[in-house]
Amino acid sequence: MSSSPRTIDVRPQQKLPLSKTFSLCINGVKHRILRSALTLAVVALAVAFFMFLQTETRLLQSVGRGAQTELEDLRFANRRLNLYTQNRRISGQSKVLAGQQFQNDPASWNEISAVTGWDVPRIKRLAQAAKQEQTYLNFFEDLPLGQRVILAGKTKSRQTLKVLADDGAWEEFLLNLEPMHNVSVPEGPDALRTVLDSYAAYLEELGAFNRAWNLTVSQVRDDLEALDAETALSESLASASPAKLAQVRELITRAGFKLTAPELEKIQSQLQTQEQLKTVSAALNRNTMMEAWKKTFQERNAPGLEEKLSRLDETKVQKLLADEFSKESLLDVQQYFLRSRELEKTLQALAGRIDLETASGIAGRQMFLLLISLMVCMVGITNAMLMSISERFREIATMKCLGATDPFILRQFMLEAGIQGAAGGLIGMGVGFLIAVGKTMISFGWDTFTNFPVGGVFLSALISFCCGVALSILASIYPSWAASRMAPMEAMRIE
Amino acid sequence: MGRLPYGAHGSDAYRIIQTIFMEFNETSYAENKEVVVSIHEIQRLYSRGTETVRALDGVDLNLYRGEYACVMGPSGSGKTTLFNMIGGLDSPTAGRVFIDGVDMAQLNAKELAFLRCRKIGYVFQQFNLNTTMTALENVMLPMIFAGMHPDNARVRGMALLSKVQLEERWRHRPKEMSGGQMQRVAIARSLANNPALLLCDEPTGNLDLKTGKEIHNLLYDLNKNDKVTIICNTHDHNMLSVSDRMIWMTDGKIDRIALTADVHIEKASLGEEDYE
Ligand SMILES: Nc1ncnc2c1ncn2[C@@H]1O[C@H](COP(=O)(O)OP(=O)(O)OP(=O)(O)O)[C@@H](O)[C@H]1O
Ligand SMILES: [Mg+2]
Repeated sequence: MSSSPRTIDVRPQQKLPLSKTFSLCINGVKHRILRSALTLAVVALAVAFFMFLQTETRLLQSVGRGAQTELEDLRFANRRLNLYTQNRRISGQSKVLAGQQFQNDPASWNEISAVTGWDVPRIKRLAQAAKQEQTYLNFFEDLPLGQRVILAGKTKSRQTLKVLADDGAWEEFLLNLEPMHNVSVPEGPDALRTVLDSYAAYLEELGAFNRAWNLTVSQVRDDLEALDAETALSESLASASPAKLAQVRELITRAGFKLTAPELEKIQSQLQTQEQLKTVSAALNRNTMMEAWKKTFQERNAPGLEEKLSRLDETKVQKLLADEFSKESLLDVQQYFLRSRELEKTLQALAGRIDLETASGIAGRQMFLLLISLMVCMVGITNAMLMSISERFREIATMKCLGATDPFILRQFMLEAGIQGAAGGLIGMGVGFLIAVGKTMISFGWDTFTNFPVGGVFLSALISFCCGVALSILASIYPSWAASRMAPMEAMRIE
Repeated sequence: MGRLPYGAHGSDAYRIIQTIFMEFNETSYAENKEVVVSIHEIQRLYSRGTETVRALDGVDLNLYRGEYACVMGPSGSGKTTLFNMIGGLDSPTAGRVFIDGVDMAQLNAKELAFLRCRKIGYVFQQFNLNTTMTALENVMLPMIFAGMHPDNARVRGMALLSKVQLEERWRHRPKEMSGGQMQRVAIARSLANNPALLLCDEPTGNLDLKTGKEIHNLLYDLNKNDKVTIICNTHDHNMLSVSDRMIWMTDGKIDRIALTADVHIEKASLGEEDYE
């Protein structure tokens, strides 16, 4: 066989389809399984850390929110009764109004209108002004003491604004403010000036509103007390007959408050439990009971009331109280007592870690940790990718000698990084999630799942996963680009 | 040129005559031949700190289509460096390399990749096999880069492996093979895309006589039947004897070029004693 000599004609090297790059890539990952596993583990660890912090924050938030609403619900009766019967102070009133500004519920505006006899737009205007006032009150409140003294003298809260409204004081304020570059007045000094200009009028309006409100509230209180002059209100409501309840409802709704029959029933049942708690406590505190307790448990000193209340489900304790209370009512009382104590503890434990007031719900400390974890993620993944690529310069050089193009090498390594990032991301996501759930469960038990933030956790998972993949790819771009650009012989020399 | 008694080799007069005669022969050899690789005054310097190593120091060389050239020279004389220049794996510090009339420096990255993939086969001194791949996958790699269908590539890969008597080892990875076996895989890989130019850097350095001979036959066959231009760096007499030309290098320079027919190849007389 004889052929003509082969000629050399130069054309551009063709592009390989992605599927081939992919299979070569998988092959590489498979045969470097230990190294790949290491890289993958780094990615997984970083993603797990990130995912854990995110999920934990969300879980704590949901536990906190849950505890808050449940506690509010447990105290429904007292909150409502306070609303109907307690006079408000002016500062309290302005806070309520400022808070009301965030509510879009027309019914609640109408309720205020009905109670005070004011029209809704007027109340809304006042609420708006109250919100502005609150903003500036908070601003002065949050200033470091030294700066506050320089800007506003030794005055406090409302007094500060009153003083500043004065022309001379205002000019001095502006002069003092000028050099304080780190202090920024919300919406600028001009906005504050506008608020100050109408401050006296606002205070007057607020006072009028407060008087109107308190007038109605006093009336309701007097009427309710007149229903049963002998006993305290909560006690009398707890034992009120349905007819009397209807009367009470009639009284309260006539004053302008909204109160449905089921709501009143709920108030009553809660008051009953509370009354029961009171009598059980009183019974437990009696001297005779102390003696009986000591005898039953053969202890030198009977425990405190709290401890006794928390042990109401013990048969021995139930026996002690059997003359006065049924087992069911004792368990009822215990449930109420324990639950509210637990919820209070939960909220206490969460204070400082999460912020239930703000929309994001992430307190400063948690945010800081999140940022750190993202950083760890970034450094860890970059390092892993750099290592795994620089180890393979010789391989890259050989591939180039055999006809691999620069984009092919770039794509191969980015794909590899993507695969490792995706696998590591998935594992990290799962691990982080499990750790977060486990840790929250250790602290808060099954409450973790009562308001489980499915959407939020899903979002966190997505963010963590994408972070893992994106960081892996990003971190591999530079080293693989550098590797692909090197002349083959140059790359081969780097070991 | 006729044979002279052994003792005559040493005399200056003999040497001058010999040189003139060889140059004459070489010039006539070049007639009617196409230049495939043309090297002009290339230099390759490596600088480490203040000292500079002149790996190639002004090399001028033409390689002709279809020829079988052997490069010889002591260790460190720049053979591998020269091969890298021809193969487009490294660029000269000064001077030019033309391949089929095209200046290598003018080629872009993709064209260089094409050249390395399809037109030039390279047997590395250190084999440079991909350690994560089997022998067959290594041989298939250049074909995959050339866009061949994997099934066809597999068939051709097996054929090439059987040419180097390794068809039974196709599953083995480099770390499971001996040096000679890796070298043969490297040779099979260099032939993957039917290169027009084959650069072999010590292709039989790790082989025993018998296997080495099989490789010579393979290369000889390729050169004579398939008209592949082969440049080979070797000290192996068997291989030298089938070559067309011999090129001697010392210290980054071409020392001497001669037609093999003009050189008296004997174990004792390769002109190598000159260097020793
Ligand atoms: N990357 C490098 N940096 C510095 N010097 C180098 C480098 N590569 C090669 N050299 C030098 O260039 C010279 C030629 O090297 P080359 O590898 O071409 O020799 P060789 O003829 O192939 O030798 P051998 O027969 O031992 O393989 C040597 O002196 C070597 O030290
Ligand atoms: Mg060498």
